[in-house]
Amino acid sequence: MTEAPPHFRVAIIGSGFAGIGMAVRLKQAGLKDFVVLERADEVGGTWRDNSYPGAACDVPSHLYSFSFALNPNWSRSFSPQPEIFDYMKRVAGEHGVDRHVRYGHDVRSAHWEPEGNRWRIETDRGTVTAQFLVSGAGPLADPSYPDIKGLETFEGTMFHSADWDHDHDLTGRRIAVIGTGASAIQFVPRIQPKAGKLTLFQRTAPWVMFRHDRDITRLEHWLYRNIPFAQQIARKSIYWGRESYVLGFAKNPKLLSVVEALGRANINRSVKDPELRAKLTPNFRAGCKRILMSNDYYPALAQPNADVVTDGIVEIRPNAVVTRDASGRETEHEVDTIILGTGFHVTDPPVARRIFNAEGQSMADHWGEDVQAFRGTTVAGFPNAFVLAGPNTGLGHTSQVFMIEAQIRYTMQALKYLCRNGLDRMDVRPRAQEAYNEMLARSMEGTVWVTGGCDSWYLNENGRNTTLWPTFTWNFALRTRWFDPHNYDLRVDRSRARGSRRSDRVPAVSGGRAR
Amino acid sequence: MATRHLGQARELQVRSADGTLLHAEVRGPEDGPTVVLAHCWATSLASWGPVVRELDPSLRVVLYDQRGHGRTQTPITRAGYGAEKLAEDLCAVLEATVPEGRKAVVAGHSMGGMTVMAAGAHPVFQDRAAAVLLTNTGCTQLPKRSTAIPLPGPLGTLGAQVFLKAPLPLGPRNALTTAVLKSMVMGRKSDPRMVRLCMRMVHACAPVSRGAWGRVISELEAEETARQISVPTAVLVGTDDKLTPPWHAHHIASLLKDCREVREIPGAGHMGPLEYPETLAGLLEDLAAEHVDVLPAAA
Repeated sequence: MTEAPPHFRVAIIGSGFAGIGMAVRLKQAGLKDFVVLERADEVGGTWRDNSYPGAACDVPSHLYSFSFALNPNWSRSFSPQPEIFDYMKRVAGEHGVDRHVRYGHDVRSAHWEPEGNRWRIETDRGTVTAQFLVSGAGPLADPSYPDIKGLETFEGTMFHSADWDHDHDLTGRRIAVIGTGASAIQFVPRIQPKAGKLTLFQRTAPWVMFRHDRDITRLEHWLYRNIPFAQQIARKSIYWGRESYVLGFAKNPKLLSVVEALGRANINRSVKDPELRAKLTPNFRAGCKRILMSNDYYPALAQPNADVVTDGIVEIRPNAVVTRDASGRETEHEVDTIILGTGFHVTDPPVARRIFNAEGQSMADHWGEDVQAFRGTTVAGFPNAFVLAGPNTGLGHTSQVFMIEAQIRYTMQALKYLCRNGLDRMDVRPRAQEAYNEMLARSMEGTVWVTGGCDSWYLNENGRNTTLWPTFTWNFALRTRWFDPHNYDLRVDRSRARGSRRSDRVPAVSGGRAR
Repeated sequence: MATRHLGQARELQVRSADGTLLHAEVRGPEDGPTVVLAHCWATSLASWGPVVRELDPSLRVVLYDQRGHGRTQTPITRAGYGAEKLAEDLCAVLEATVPEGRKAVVAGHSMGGMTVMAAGAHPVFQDRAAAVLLTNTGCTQLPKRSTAIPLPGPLGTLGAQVFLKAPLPLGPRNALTTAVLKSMVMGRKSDPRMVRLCMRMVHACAPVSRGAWGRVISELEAEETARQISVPTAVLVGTDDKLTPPWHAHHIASLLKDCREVREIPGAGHMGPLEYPETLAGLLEDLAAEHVDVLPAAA
């Protein structure tokens, strides 16, 4: 055997919003003994990878940022990707997070070793061990490629929007865009003016709202910079405004007919051709799939060089995409570039296939069809592990960073509780996890995501929603405000208990909870 | 407010260790002996203007805005403020502007002086600094020693803390507020144009970063790193300096390994570069002539 791999108190996978936020909170709590494993050579996660033209956030930037790092300098109400990426790099830099990051360390597997009470994490640049594992690999980490016959035989250029080929000049090309999700509606208007011919292959039309995107005025900048709490007030107003969407999504989907009227108005404003209008008008309740926001998506599709195809794709040939319409007639669309806007592995997060419990079973296998966790964060059978942006913590209406920060707070509370009481292992009780997920299932009933009549990335194969948080986000924040030791099996750290002066106190403190 | 001499300024953006973009300006001939100037709290690089105007045109002058001031980016989080960050910024500027193998005279006024003292232990600083000039600065006990708020004992300390930390707008610029600011930071006989310049710079500084830096200053303990400055150093102070009274200058001199001189300027207040620019320019030229090797003609 060679020498033992480096051991840390905490290992964090990924350095996106979750990874950076977790690292900052650990540093603020005074812990330096942690490592961040990052597969790329820069921090930033999703906001580093998704550099396609027009990439921007759907949530106003004053809300879509860390609560501890408000940025008075956002240039627009919905900031573009380079600005968010820069923001993340600066927050990480200011807190010295980058000193803890090991770049180029793609995590291959993480195995729980009960005898050593630690996680053994294999990366492609060596092994580390850690007492606690925090996965910050979110649902938008790995692009999803469609399963279309002949995809690999295509002879032109093909890339996914999350892995944009910036060297490939699109001027005058015949481009096929597959998918009409949040990414596609952002880059389609940017590439349409350059393209010779742009064909958009659409399976389901999305609801697209008008986006009130504007430059932040100099007066606002001045206020945010000079008046204490001005930015907090702006942030909280956006938060509560966005939170009111839940009334429609989860409480009374009928309210969403207002949104649908706005969506139709948005189509009618820019699309005059009745045939195209019909193609672009969704046939399900707004909100069932993610509501998208763009001002230039419909105008771009109304241009003569753009074409929307709603027939299903049957095959991809070396120089064409083949579709088949309802009557079974096949059409060949000749293209030289295919851009896949087909989204991410959301319902089956790839990191779950790399985390293994004591029996060597991966989290994905352990879950099977039923992806679930306790408070979105801990999974029974996987001790000392926390999954940030885990099951049922996704959102369709407001800032994901808010949810991530709530989970980080919960994780910190748990770590502090363990530390304070001389405990070294925690594992959520299966009963608690079951009860929690029953509660989730109950609040999911009647929400638009289940009743809206669409097939979206929110739902898994059984039609169960394992990705979204079904109610108000402040509800989640309250549930994760404090650590709840009674829901966990905890173990006393024997090495600390024996011989230490506090040995007589430790069992009393943890009482019947410790095993 | 730009300084206008020594020809056109060459502006550059320097990325500090943590990613913050710093605005820097280089003036004068590329091959001249370099002088790097760090400005004080709540102003900008323009506060060195009067000194630069007096300097020998054969010197190469590097000015930069400290973070949160002037055209440099403001930190996003509390962690972005700190003496260590100031030191890293100075080192980044030194690395970007002083060519490899050459040295420079580094001067700091007030918070700039604290920057220099905080950087004392940095290898880059030790490598690039040939001599140091510190004016109106201190490295410890700043609120305690301050006499800016004329209240006795602990009340004065408390007043100074509030003055430093409060992230509040300074209100309108008029004769009264100018008189108040002048009485706190500048000597009685200051040039009214300099008082106006000072007023303009202080009011242009964003209250949030002013307050955050005030906190850093009031908690500053840079004695340990100041001890590690081994190059020849001159320390100046005005006898009427209320923010950093002369006690600081003598205290710093007692820490430094090679303090050449402690000079008290009679009647001057805290804004050295605005109040006695000729003295500072003369000293900088002397330090540069004595300690910075001029490049051989061939190079």
